[in-house]
Amino acid sequence: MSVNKLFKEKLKIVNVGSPSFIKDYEVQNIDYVHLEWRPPAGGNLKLLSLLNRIRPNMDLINKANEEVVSKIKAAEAKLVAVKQAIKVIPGMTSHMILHSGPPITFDKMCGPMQGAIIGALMYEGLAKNQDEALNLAESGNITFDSAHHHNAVGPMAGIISASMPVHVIYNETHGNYSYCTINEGLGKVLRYGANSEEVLTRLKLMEKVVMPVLNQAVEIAGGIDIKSIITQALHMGDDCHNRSKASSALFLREVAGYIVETNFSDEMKEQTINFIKNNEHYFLNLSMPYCKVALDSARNTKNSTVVLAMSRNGVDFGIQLANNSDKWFTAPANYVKGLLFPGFTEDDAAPDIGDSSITETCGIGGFAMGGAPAIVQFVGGGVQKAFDYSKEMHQITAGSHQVFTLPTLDFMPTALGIDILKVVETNILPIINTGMAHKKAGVGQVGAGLVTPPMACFEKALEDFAKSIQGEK
Amino acid sequence: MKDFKVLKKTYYDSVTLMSVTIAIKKALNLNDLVMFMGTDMNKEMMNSVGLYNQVFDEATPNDLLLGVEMEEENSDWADQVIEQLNNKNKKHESANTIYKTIAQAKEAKDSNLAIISVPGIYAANEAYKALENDMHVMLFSDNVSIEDEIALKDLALKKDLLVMGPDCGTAIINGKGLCFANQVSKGNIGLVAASGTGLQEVTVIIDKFGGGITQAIGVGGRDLSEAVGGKMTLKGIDALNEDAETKLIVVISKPPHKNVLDKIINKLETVKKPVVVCLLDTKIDQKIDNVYFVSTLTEAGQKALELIGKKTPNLTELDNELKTRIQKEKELKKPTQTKVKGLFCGGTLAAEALSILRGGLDGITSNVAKKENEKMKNPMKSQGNNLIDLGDDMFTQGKPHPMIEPTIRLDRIISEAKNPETSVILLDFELGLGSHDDPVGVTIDTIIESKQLAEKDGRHISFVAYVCGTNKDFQGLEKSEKLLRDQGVIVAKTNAHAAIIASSIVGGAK
Amino acid sequence: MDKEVKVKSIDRDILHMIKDHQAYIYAIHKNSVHICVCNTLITVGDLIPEGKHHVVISQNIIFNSLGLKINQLIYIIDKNLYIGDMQLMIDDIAIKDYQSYDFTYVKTIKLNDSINQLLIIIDKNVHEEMFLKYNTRILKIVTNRVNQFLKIPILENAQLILGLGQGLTPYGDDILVGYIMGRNTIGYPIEWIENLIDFVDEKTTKLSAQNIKDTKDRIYPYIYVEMIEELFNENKIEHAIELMKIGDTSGVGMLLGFLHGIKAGDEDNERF
Repeated sequence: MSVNKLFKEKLKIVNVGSPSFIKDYEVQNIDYVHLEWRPPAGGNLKLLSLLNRIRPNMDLINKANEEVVSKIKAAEAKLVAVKQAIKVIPGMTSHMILHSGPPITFDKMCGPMQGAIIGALMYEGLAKNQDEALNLAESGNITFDSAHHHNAVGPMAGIISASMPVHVIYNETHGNYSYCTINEGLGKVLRYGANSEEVLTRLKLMEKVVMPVLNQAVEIAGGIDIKSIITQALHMGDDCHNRSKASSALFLREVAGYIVETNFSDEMKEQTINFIKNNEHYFLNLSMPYCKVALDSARNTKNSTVVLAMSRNGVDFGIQLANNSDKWFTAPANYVKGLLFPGFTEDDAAPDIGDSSITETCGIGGFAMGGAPAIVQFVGGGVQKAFDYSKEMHQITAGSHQVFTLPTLDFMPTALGIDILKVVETNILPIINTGMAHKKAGVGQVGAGLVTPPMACFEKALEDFAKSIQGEK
Repeated sequence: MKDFKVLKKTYYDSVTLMSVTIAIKKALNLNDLVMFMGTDMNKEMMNSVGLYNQVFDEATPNDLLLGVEMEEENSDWADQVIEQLNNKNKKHESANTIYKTIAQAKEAKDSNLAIISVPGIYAANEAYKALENDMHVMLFSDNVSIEDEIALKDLALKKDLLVMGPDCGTAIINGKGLCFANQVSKGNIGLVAASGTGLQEVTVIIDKFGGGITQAIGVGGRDLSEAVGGKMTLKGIDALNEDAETKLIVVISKPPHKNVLDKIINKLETVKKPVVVCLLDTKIDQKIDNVYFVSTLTEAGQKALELIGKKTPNLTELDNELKTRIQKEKELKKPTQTKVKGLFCGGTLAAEALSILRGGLDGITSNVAKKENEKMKNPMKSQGNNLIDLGDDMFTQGKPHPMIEPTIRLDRIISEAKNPETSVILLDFELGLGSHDDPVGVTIDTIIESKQLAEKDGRHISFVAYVCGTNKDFQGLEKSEKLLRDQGVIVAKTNAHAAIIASSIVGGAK
Repeated sequence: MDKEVKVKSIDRDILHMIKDHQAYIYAIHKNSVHICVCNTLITVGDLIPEGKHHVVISQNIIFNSLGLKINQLIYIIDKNLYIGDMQLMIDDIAIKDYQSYDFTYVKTIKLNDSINQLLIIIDKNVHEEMFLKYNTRILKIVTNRVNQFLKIPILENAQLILGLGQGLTPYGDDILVGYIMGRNTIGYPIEWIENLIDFVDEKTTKLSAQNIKDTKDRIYPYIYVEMIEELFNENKIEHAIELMKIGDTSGVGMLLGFLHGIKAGDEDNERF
């Protein structure tokens, strides 16, 4: 676009700044756009100068980001098995407990997570009661680690222990795996920190009944295509994070026939089918590892500013980038704002918790809000707000999906590839649609709503990235 | 209770007015609502029905008067009326898209030029983004660091894009005036300028005497510094050289650094079209084929016009009519009146006046002077012959620029008039986009007042003015000049012309 | 838009004025816009009658949905009129040379019948209905003054209705315009007309002032010419009745004034 070319064209102006020039454009019949301009990075000059330092490398960065987005989009993943954690999760041991979010020591963990760990230790038989479990947890003889470090994710407390069954997801495009527990359902559940007899019994059922039956069914099927279910469910009002009714139903439809074909007893088949049928959040524990396996395929792409993980441990929020993927950038998590169930107040809620924000990281969940009008009641602004959020996310991503589209927005594809540069510059944070846990262990869910990561995570990531890319030159 | 509002220059037909009246009366449960144009008879009528208020006094027949009588207080009745009137006049704006970033706008509209006027600390960032999106940039903002200016211009040159600025207040691209610019006829002269008002003056002179322009490219005040090295000036010259429509190039600059001047001269040696170079306040002895060096804006305009075959009247000498007039003025002076006081809105115009007046006027000083001996000790206080640029930072802290708000000059005019040594008050008025709606209109009363003030003291003050504008500028050139002439102000043809007249009145050499 | 919108009629002088000078949008209405060029107001629309200061277009355009702005420039380049994004073609046949209407007529007895017939129609059916929506006090003031003028058409009374009424062309002005047109038509000049013209710029809206001056100069929109010719040559009132539908009260006001204008001097001269 050369200078002499400009002389031959019609002027099309973008007015950045004073609206007093607008009348001059109009009087001269000039085609113009006036920006609703806000100081970038919220007016923070330090961040702005970081952005400026990175600026000369934009070409490198854009190329890397494109690569990352392509890889994520290209993931084709199936549920290929359901096995015990210790059998499939890399690095898993009998005395290891994986949790959601960035690394954290037991003493610092929030109520629900500690409660869940206590439950897990009892489930494993490593402790006979809660007090013993607590002592064991504090003793230092149990290794705690982020599930993310082991290619795994879990909702809420996200606790994975050796004997727990996990879904095994395989990305055919890239050849990598991811793992996630089976969703227990609603009510008193381990992931909200409950550890009563009821909880442990249910966990045993899942290990003894659901796991073998489902595993064989999946083998017979030759794997269940998870991406295809997500694609369809997005067209059916799911966001695949907070609302998974359609996707869970589709999964059951896919797998039911194969369950029947397995050679287990009728009773076990029935229990398995009912277990899945009665849990309308079943699919969350399949959409999460799908996102994980897709995002993981782009790990360690040099010079890319795309976020590959967003996760919370109930205290801190952490993100990881495609560039130098093992580094966490953390800051205290925000509280979820939204609708509280009757009988609870905002004071009852724990801070944002869980690996489930991996869905937003992969362009679904809150990013697909516009297609899930049923979630609107938690958005507090009506359907239009939900549309607006889905559209707004495009301003902070490096690209968009191909097959994940929203019919309500004219089949607009969802935004994909959160770019920290754009987040800092526009001051727009990724929107997450999630549940609220009671801050005390074991009480359960107290509501649901919207939350964003703290800007500090992105600022830290930016600082680190600026250093790393300058080292490149 | 009653309430009233005047909507200036508001035109609605009676059908609309009537239906909105009915609708609003019902919606807000008003006792009465009347809306009439502000003719004398309508005012009488509204008075007769008890719905008149003194806010209506100043209203003209082309303003809409609103009067309401309501039981309960409803403070936004007027807003609702206006909204309803407008609703009848606006289509349903579906998808009123809000653009927050340059990238968004570019994607949606394929924009080709970003005009940036955000605070300096953010301006560079926006400019980078524009360039990255393959858009040309006009950087109105100042306070951009020199490092950023260099980096931006380097990036622009790599991509064959323009960066006009920082601190670029004037440009005319494809016939459209940008920021502060006059409506100038289209023609065959292309300009590159490091000064906004300088560009305005030359384009106005070209238009006034039958010429026209192709493009007027602003490069920002610092482009010709040693560090920036004239990057955009050179680029502008190249672009105009390549532009088939442009038959003649004018380069307007402040005195550049020697290295930069050399670069420009080297460039000009490769240009085939005739070039007029105006280096304000500098004389160049170099002789290059087809290149003409001048040192005032008026000369630049004249030379350009001459080269495209347009005649101009003599703008640097005084014709007989003027000489007679000046003589008359001189005869009315008291012996104490020996000094010229220039009060300018345009900095470059002040600088040009300085360069012309220094020859004839003793000890002239100015707050725009670069030479040590010409710098004003205290620009707030007039002393001797002096020229003040009221647009300088020291006067505009927290206040609008005098081109936008000429009233900030008024007090100074009065105080100069009170000074017994004042013989001539020299004023400039800028018309065109960005400038005040009626710069002369808003000043004329003060001129009258000052003259009277001085007359009481037995002193006759000569006012010499120049209106920098074309007959197409919305403020009205003819109207403005007439307003001045009617009050005995001597209206010059160009800024330099005004300076020469002023000098002549005080007798030149003193 | 299925076909191109064209200019159906434009006065040659006005066309050149717009070409050579700055023309800008003065006011925007639903079916019409006002353009100002060389201090003259031109109305552009499809429903307006042809006339020197009217540009008639071939199709309805909803001008207030085009995103136009006051003071926005409009252009004529080659054979096209550009208003905002609209491009309206000007065929050669659309360019007219509007002249002032200099004919005068003699009244006949039969004509008087027509006049009275029209007056009755106006009085009975139209007048009351028309003003029903107005505030009754205002209605009273306006009608009293108008009646006063129509009864005794002297300068003082004319001044009392100049600028009186709602909208861009107040009812009082419509009456005056009609009256002047009536007096012109019977060749009976108004003694105080020059005095009135001196006031109009100050005392009423720009558009209305222009109308009054045009009318004094015998420049009428073409439908008025048609009405006059039909009335005086054929003694028919069809066009006149059509005219009453114009605007809210404008058409009626003009006709009422006109009828009084042509009746003027009946008592005290032997004109017919």
